[in-house]
Amino acid sequence: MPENRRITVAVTGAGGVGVSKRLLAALQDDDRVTHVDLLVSANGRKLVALEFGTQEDRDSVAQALGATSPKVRLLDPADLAGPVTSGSYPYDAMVILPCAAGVLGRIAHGLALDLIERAADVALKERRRLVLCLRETPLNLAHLRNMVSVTEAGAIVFPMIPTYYNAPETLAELQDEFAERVLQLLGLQRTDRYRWDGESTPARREHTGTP
Amino acid sequence: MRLVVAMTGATGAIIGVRLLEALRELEVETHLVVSRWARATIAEETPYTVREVTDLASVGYSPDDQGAAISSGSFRTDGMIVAPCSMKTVAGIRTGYADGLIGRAADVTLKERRRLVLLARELPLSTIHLENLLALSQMGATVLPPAPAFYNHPSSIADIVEHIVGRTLDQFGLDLPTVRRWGGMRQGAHPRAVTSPRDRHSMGDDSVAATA
Repeated sequence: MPENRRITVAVTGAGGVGVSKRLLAALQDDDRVTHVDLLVSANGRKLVALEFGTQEDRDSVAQALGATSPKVRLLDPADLAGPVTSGSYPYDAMVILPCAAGVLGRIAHGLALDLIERAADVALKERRRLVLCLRETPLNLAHLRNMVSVTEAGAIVFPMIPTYYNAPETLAELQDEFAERVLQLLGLQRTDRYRWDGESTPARREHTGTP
Repeated sequence: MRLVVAMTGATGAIIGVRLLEALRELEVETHLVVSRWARATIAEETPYTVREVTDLASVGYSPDDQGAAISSGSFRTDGMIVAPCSMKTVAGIRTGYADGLIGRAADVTLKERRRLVLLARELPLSTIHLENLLALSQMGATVLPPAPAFYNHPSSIADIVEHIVGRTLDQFGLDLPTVRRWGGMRQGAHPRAVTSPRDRHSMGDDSVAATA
């Protein structure tokens, strides 16, 4: 059954943009998704440049993230008049991956200083799914309080913590699995490889050669 | 009387404009700050230029001017109105995040225990918005969402705006003569101009039969 999902994706100034790239690849590949609004914060661009070894400008960053499909629209986080600023603009869910601790803090307080934080503010008021993939450790009291606040307001805090029961051997495998779990939260599951059946998963069986 | 007026980037710029006009008519000295995104809503929503709007005020300041007179409690005012007030401004005032003149002026207004009236406009309101608004109310600010009234039988958007502006001015003891105030429920029919016969019937208004 065809769907017409519109997803808002934000990349902010924390580590792990390899997962952002995988998530974007999956969304672009998925026929159930008709439109992706992508926002990369200024610090997000720095992290992309750092982790992919590219330049920091918008075009280089978009290339590095593989955001090349015509269904992806790049929005300027400084433009508070952009489409996602209003609840009247429909999108189905928003993911911030990675989510920096400062972004979490501002969302928790309603301090929508840029379009990313405003879009998250809108998601909460319209009760649309908001997934914040926090990449921070250790967590100070402010971080913990902010995680409680956004959760009470309806967001899902989904820290970028890997799983091990699939017996991953490479960083790429860890990132693939994390991206798939985020997609599951968005109702866009693609595979059963990571499904725990009580004893094991297909991915684990592959890696460990067990039945 | 001297009032600080701030306009921020929530929808409803026309309310701020009419407020400034009304204060001018009432000969109140106004000190105006228009935020970066209120400039955008003025252009987007109203037929006025930002200059035409700022000309309505006695004194104007840039939103980045942290050294302005109104940034200090020693500069006496009778209070402040933010119209319209965005949720970001609500959050900034609640948290004391006074990084710009609007946030700072509001911060000053609260610390000097002068009246702060926020025409906070957002729909729906999230838990975070509600927590911020509750905290502000507890801190002494007046939360005045610019929601229309209907008991005064508005027949245009201008009527709706006028009523909201009038109720805002009431907060400072200022009377706008155009406000239609409630004087008690009238016995008998509703004004025919406002509702159709079908509407009156579905409201269960038996008095219509008596006057038809």
